[in-house]
Amino acid sequence: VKLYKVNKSIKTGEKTMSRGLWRIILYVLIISAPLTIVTYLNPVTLHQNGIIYEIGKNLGLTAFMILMLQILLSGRFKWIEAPFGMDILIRFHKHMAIFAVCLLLLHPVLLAGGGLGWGLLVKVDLPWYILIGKLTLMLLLVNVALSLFQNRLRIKFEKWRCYHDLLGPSISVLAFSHSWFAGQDLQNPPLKYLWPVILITSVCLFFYHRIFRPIDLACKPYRVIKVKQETHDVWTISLAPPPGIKKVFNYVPGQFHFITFHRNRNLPEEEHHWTISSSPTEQGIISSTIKSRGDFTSTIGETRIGDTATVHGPFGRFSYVNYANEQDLVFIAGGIGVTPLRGMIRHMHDIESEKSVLFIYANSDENNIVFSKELQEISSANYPRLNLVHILENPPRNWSGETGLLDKAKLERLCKNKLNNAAFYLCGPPGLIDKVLVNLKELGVPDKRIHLEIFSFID
Amino acid sequence: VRKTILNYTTSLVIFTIVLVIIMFSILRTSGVHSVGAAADTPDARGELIFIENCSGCHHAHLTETKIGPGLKGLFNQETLPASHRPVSENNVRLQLKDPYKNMPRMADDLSEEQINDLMAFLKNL
Repeated sequence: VKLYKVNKSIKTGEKTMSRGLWRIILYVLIISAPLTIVTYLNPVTLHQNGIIYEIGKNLGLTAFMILMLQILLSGRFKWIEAPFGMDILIRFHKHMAIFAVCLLLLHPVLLAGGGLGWGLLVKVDLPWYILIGKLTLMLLLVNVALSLFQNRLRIKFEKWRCYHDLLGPSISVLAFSHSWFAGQDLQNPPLKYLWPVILITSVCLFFYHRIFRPIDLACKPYRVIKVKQETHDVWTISLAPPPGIKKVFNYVPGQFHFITFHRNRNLPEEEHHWTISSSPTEQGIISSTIKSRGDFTSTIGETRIGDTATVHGPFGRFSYVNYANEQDLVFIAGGIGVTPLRGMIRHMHDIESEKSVLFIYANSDENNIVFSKELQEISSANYPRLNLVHILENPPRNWSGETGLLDKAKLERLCKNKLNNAAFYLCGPPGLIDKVLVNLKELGVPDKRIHLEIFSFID
Repeated sequence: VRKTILNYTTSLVIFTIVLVIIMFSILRTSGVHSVGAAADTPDARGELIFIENCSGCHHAHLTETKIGPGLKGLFNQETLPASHRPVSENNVRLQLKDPYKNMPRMADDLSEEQINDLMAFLKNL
């Protein structure tokens, strides 16, 4: 008998929304804290320099706080990630970095225009801490540009991450040095004590995220216990927890995790994130189903039983478990996008859920259908009430099912009774998902009934 | 829908932060919360004069060097940090009028009354 256990730390519905809202309010309050402290507890005002100068100075203080908090957004801290999902949090991290750059570009301009003189912008013969400020701004611009244009600049993810790891903490320390020696407000308590504490906390969190936690996880590696070839280019890798630990971490079906395979044999060791294709009801193992599509994943078929892997998870909010009130579901997947949906369907089956699921699964041909046999078996069983519809772009001669592309007319015909009340879960290649999304909206399905995860962290 | 929520949230957060910056900047320059304006004492006036004229080179609340020496506890020391003259009001005034080493001459920019206020501030560091 398989036991059912879900991650109880993942809350559902409105509670999660309110928790997310409180975290956003807390974020804004922390960023505003220095200004509040300066204004109310230690108000040393430069009347002579006026409001332009004051705004310029406050832009600097605020941007410093935004930069120090960036590690909280990107550091994979579950307490922060849980209400939003990693995909959203990483994008918020990017938006706030761009906002900080805008503030810091305006910072010297307003200070110069507000009384310090335009020489601040053009002169080279300036105090060292002003030059440090200029250097910080330049490094920040480089860091943001590398992140935004990583694809266009054709920088590999691993290389980009090295740059980001070097530039991030360097910018924090340089920004601190500049503000500490140039900022008049920071010479007085309590900011005098708070400022170094903020820097030290931020840098410590960075080193925890990038060094100490990976070492800790690597000391407790998972073991590859099964490698199953699903199709000609898709493999399911099943992992068991480290010796002495019976259970894998708590997760809900549909979430994802980060894996670094340690396979030696001159195979690359890179960290990548993959959807968990297993269900938490499958005790003692956790699986990812991975498609070979170049670079690192082209070696996935060479993984062997007995290899080890560092696993960090779970993350993400793409799961029917997070929306307990939805009873009528439509899953739409393309190709390898089936993985989170397989986890959810297996989970529903094992806990004997009475939910109704219409599963539309599009593939180029019959050989590319992943989990074909298992999905067929579950659809023949009682739980869940699964209606499985395969669509093949290039069907074999004896194929009696749906063919062609999943266009609007087909979507309307297949989901006719579902458009008014069912919840839609979409996962697959961006081209397919973008089209389905547009078609669903045109067919009147509101946003709140459409769930999808933006699996790539790069726009 | 999650991207839409993200965009709304980001816009709201940015708008709030910009509002906070402007609000606090107005508060601090309007004089409502200004120590200098509220407490019209020589010490408070001296603090404003220090910020305007001296803080570019000297820390007021640190002993560390900025460009010139930090001035925390100036009048509790035996000698002035750069010239090593004995600490006294006369020698500090002398430093302002006839500076030792690289410090610019401040007495040209400040009235006698302003120097008196500045002295009141420096004595309390």
